[in-house]
Amino acid sequence: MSIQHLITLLFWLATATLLAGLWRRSQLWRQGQSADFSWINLLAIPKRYFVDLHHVVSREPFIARTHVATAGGAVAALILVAINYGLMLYWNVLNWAILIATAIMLVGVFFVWLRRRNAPSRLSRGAWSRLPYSLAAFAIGLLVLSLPVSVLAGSVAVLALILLMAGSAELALGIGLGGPMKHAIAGLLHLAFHPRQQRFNGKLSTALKPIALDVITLENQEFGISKPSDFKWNQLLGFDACVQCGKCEAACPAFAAGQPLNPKKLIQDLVVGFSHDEKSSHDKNSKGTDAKFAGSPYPGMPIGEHSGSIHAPIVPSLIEAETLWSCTTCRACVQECPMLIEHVDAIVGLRRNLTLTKGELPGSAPQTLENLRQTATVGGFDRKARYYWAVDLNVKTIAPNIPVDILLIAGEGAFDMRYQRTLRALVKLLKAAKVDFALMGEYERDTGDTARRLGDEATFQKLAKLNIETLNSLSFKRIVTADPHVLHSLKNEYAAFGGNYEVLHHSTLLAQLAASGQLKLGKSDETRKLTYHDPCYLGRYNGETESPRALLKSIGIQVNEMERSGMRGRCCGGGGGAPLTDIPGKQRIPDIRIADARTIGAEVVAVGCPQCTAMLEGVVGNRPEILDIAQLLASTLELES
Amino acid sequence: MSTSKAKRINPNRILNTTQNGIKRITLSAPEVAENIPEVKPLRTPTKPKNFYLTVTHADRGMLDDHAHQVIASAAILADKETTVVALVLGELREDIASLGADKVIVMPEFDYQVFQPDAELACVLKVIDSLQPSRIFMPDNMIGDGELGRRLIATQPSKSAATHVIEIDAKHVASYQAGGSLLAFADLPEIILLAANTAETNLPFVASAIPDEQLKSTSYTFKESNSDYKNLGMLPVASATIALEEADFIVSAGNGVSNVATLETLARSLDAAIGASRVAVDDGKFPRDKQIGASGKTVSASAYLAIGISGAVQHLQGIKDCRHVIAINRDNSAPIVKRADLTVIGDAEEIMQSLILAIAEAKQATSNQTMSNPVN
Amino acid sequence: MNIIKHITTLVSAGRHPVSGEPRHCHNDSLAMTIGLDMAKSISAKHHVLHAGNPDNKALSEYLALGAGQIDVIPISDDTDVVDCLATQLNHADLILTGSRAESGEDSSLLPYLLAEKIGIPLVVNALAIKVKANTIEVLQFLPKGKRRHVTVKLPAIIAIHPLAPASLKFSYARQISGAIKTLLVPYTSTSTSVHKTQWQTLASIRKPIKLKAPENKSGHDRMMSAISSESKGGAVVNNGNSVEKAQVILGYLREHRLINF
Repeated sequence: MSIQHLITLLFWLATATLLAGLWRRSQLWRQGQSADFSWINLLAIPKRYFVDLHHVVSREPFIARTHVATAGGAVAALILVAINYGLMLYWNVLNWAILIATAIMLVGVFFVWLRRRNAPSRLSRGAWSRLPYSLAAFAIGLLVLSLPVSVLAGSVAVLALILLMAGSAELALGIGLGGPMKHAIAGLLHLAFHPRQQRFNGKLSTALKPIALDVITLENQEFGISKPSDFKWNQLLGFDACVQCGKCEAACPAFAAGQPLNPKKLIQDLVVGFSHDEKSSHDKNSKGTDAKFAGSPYPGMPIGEHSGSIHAPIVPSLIEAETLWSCTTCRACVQECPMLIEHVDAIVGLRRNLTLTKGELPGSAPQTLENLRQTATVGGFDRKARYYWAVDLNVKTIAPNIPVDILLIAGEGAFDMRYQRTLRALVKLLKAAKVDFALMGEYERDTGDTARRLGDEATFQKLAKLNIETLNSLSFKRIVTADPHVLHSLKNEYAAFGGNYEVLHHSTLLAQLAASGQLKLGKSDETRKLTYHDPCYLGRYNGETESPRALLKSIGIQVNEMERSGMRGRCCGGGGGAPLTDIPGKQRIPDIRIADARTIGAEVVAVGCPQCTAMLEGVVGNRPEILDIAQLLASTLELES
Repeated sequence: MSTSKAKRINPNRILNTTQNGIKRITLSAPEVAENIPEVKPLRTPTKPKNFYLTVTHADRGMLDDHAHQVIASAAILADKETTVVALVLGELREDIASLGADKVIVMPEFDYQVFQPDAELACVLKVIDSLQPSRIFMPDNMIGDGELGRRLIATQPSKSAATHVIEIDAKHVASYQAGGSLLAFADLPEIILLAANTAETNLPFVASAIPDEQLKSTSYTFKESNSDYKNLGMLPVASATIALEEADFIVSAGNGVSNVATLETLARSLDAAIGASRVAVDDGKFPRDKQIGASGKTVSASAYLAIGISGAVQHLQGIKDCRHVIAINRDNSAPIVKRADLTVIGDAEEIMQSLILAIAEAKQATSNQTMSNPVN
Repeated sequence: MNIIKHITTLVSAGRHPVSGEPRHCHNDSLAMTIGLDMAKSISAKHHVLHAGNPDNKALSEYLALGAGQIDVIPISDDTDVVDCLATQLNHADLILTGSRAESGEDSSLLPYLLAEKIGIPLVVNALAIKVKANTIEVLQFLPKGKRRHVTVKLPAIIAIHPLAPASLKFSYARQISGAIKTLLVPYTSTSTSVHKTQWQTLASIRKPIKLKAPENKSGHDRMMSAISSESKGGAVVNNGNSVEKAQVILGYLREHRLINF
């Protein structure tokens, strides 16, 4: 048998192995719950790969180019091998093409190797460290074998064949066994069957999905996610796509603060969970452990002490509850993930089980949820008191028979004396623009944002339905709010319950009014160095990063950008109920953010969110002044008059 | 509010009578009248017909403010024909004449720390039986009176009663109902369990407070072996482990405390619980559960030692129920100074160190004294 | 060995002081949680009993907190609760309840009246309970951080203190899977309420007025007392070294009997 035939044999053997492995892997994914999906989306993979995924990867051009060379070379080589050897054509010209493709791949692999030599801590080691070598073996083996036959000495050919077999094992066998290269197949399929298909239509998809809360659902399954098999199958597939690049880890505010959360490890723990099954195995020790994880641990939690399997409860044996409660739901991990994995959905799913089924929440979270149930406010306040800050402002309150253009919804910040200054500034601006607006008054109930992030879907849905009922009985065209959390719930999450409203953040509305000339702003006398902090629920959740900046520019303030801003802004630590669960870490998240501001020498931090205001103002010691956009704008009105 | 140190001059200066018999006001003369004890008239029931009975527990020979208020309110409401009888469960070493008690019955065999509800009830019932008081006043507290009062009410179905009374006058009582959302009024009942701070104890009269030996000797019958209850004694609890909400002495640290170890030593020597301001907690010096203030815990200690705490509004909210606030602070314009009953300006660390030494010396002196002349 | 077969927790319907929304009474929920834990550990049966309106939304919160099933004696507001509860509690070996309800007269008298009616002992302000042969050992709350151990013979009523260290777990799943069972006991009130205080309620809350002895003061006296009571704000010590300052503090503590050395 000639070398050529051996390669053909090897190709088909590898293909068979790959298919068997894929079958095995897909069996693992299929343990998840059913999900809506469409086979047609398989056709969308190339576009999604080259546009949507590349958009994320290209943020780091070095690694993007490395990946283009490595993966592009490998894919080209594999296709060519399939044609030339798979179909037993053995054309010389294709061999030359294979040679070129593998050479490109080898260049890519060289850069992978180079990067691995001084890898940042966010990258996983372990099996991932062997990747440059196994890929190099594949590339070199194939390269040598595609040289003209006459050049090859027999021993060199055998050696090359062995290298090729070793490399093919990584590609073919490795996928079925869950090696690093599984990311290629799982990643592509994940693009096709992604749980948030809207992401590929150029839109943001940040709303959490509702779950059924009736007794029948409860009889079949616990609420939320208790075991790995409670995830939808396409979520499990998504977890398998993880390349352990650690971009999420580097972006995670909780990880940076030393709280026991690392989004990368969370995903890997879930992979461990769904790829082991205690029942189907005779070996009692077939529970998968996290011992093989070769990346950064959850801060303060050693690796190797947790294990799980497909039908075993995840908390606490596989993942500790503190890990889940550390998350601020800021979506920085999702924003950074090149494989478009949805970490926050997984965390909230797991939280839902802890909250709805077990009722176990740390810190002051249980008290907050009780307040929301009993008073429809986060702090247990009297709803009538929400608009006390406006009693002397002579603004009308909406009523069923009073139609207005704009309805102002203040949110929980209205009970906070600090944020009342922001709200008063906003009212002043709306008055200056002669907008027809009204306050929501005691009709307003909390939107349930905090309840939903804490996993209390029942309380969220109850509040959502009550609010929708109220809003539908009122007559207004648009809603404006100074609270991005209110914005997100009303705009993105109420639609699932029949509430469709045009909701604007105050910066968006004010920017529109300023642009149309309806709001005439003066020039600010602010001479201090200023920066703008993007609230996660405004930027990443709603894509609004420009209006605040445009407004500041229009009043003559130059915005100095901090490290991480806009859609990649760093969290203040105030979202997702994190200040309530208050999981201890080494430092506090807002301290990190203020350090960002200090680094660029900012003396003023402009904000647009009551949570960010409270968190950043809570930083001890000498810190920049925190001012809301509305306050900065309103001060220019005074100068004018 | 003005914090001027200028001394106010009493517009009614004391008259001095000169040798010539001329009355003069000498402006430079020191004022002496301030400290002359006021002589109050004696209240005695002229035609004693009926009785008001107060029942209170004593703690180490003393009645607390709450008990004082109960006796005083009985005395205020008593008319000329009514004798106020104070039944004190436990030893009594203070004079309660100034609270308006005409007669005093002391039952030294009881102690609020010893659980014997049936014995106490038997005793009270016996006194009631022999006196037939028209009204019974008790403090609605947690040191046994609130409980004893309710046991009494349950055994006296014919008597009208009111508990958690927050307002009382000659005609009626008032109490919060339905979780504090309603204020309810009723005619003055026969058994009244008074909440704290419902009456002034500064009376314009005194009473004779005669020990009633006759009533004391009317012994009640109670057999301990028949009791359903058994007292197993107090559980020793170190102050440091007491929840802040319950602590009676709190040493609390703010931003001005650099050395946590010194503070802990001071707290130990005073047998006090440790608290902290939000700043100190945020700084990581103390765990979150030590935070006192609007967003932390509300405390009601008798003594609150605020060290290096400037006194943000939120913090002052958390200590509004503290009785004695002592501040150690570097800045005499800090808001805590206005709240504190005593403020010492200076370096927190130095003063804490000196205080630790002073306490150690004082303790040593006390123990020497006890050893040299042992009590009993 | 185990003589406790039935534990009954009495729960009342509370309402939120600000919003007026019906809710569980926190203190009763603590009692129920302690009862459930004890029933589990000694394999006794746990019952939750309420006298009142079976449709009260507050009851579903007890289901969320783990009641499983709540038996409700349907009574109207003017029926005597003590009498009707007593008829249902004949077989309970241990009766638990909170120390103070959030509804009705808030007199905290119910456990006392019930104990008197049934003729069994009562221990109030319990923080923790433990079964010991034919008695219950109770850790009792006393103010200023003091704690006391007592035992009480069974059957007994134990009223749990609001600071009892039990953590409440509110689960929506339990809330919708639990059951509220209305007891069909023909109940006719045989006796009227024990104490006959007639209350008249006022919806508006005002600050209570302190009782003061009437005084025949002259105008001058009143002015003097008005001036003297104004002088709030404590002494400030600026001078002296730290040793002297420490002595000032020690002196203050001694003067007000805050320390005993």
